Amino acid sequence: MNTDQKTYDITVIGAGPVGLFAAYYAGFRDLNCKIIDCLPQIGGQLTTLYPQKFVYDVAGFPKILATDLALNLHKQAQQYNPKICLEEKVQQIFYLEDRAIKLTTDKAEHFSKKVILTAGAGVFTPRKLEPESAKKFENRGLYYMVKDTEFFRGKKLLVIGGGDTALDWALHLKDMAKGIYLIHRSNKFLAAASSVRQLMNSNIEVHTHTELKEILGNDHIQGAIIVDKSVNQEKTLDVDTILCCIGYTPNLGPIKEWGLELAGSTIKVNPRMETNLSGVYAAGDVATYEGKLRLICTGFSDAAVAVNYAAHSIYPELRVFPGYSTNVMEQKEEEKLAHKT
Amino acid sequence: MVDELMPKVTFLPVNKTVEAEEGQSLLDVAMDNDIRLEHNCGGNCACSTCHVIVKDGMEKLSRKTEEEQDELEEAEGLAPTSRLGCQSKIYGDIIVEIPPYRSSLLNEDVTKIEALIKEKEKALNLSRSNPASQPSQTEGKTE
Repeated sequence: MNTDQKTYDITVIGAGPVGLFAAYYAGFRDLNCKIIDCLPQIGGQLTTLYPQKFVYDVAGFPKILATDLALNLHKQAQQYNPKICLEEKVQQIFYLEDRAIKLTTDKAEHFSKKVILTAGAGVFTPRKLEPESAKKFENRGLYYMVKDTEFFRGKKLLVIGGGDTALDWALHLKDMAKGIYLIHRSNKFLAAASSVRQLMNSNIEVHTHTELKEILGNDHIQGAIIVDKSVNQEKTLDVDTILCCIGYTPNLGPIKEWGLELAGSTIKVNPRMETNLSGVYAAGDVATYEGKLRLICTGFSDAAVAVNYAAHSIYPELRVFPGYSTNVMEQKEEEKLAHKT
Repeated sequence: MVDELMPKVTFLPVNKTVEAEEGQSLLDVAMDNDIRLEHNCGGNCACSTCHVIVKDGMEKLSRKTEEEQDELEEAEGLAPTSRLGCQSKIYGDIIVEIPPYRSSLLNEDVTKIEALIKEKEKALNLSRSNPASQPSQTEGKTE
């Protein structure tokens, strides 16, 4: 277990839009910050569920692609170099004697003074395949997530799914793989129309109305039997790797066991975004309070509120009200110059 | 031929009855049969756009999770038998209604509106690429 011994001011759990903005805001308030997310990339639902869709209700952007919004938020946060830990699932919370908080994940331990939960709908766990043979090959030829695209180079690949995740990966990997197939149980694709068009014009062999029946092989995958449900016809594909992207199921997961006051799978907060647990704040879709609307724009507001109160709570000399960013940044620049000369 | 064993799903107000495979989600059944049911998040229980109201056969659907309930609370016209189409798996005959605010755009209306949009886009593109001249049928392009 590799453990980062540094105690950060704030740990943000969830690298979706609200988490990324909280990380920016922590930096703006001169706090150091770490973000943890269970997915292999930042952006949360923006990049996982609807990367190619436009978002129209973010202030200042008449229209912005979800992926671009995530990239912009990342860029904004990067000004202050938050530590980003991906593919880590947060498990437990411990209060240490010096008022610090220890979080454990499936990979490491993390220390911070405050925690902000921006977990959205929770951990997005990939939906698994049904055939019995699927279990045997999980992580041994059958994958539910892409960690490193290079891994798929030269592979004979079968992609399963008809949503944005499946199509995006198929299109991304099509020239790296030695051969590539895509099967989808329907002939209607959930993915963006532009991706479907690209798919149909690509070198990817697409089978619609088709499901996976069985995976062949002993230690490693030697083929896959697929069945076209419209004509009930089986076919064996010569593949050695399967990437399955048939959706996710959200679940708040181990956080539910922390003793937080919950309303369904959301966490109750007061107007300062504090939960009933000391030092733990919540913001965005995971937080609830009277009149709460689950929107990106209100999530940003939650994040700013949470960080400002956390800042004052960690360093009482810091005012809750941050000042106006235009002035604050000017002052910071001047201070930097004065420091240099 | 109607298969006696396959669950049947009736969608209102279009009043279309279709067969489903056991364990299929309502959203998948709707999509397979060209019945328009929105699904902004791609059927991952992260929005409420596939909201339906079950009129009969509530017990023949998979159980509702807390996550589904949280998303549902944002649905317009929430009813005691509201479900998310993407999360409800079918295990028997059921009747569901796609709420009015979505079904107002169903059927011929959709086709009409889509045709209208296409027409408008075409006209817009024409006037953009050819701002000075009137839209005309001539083939020759003006630089």
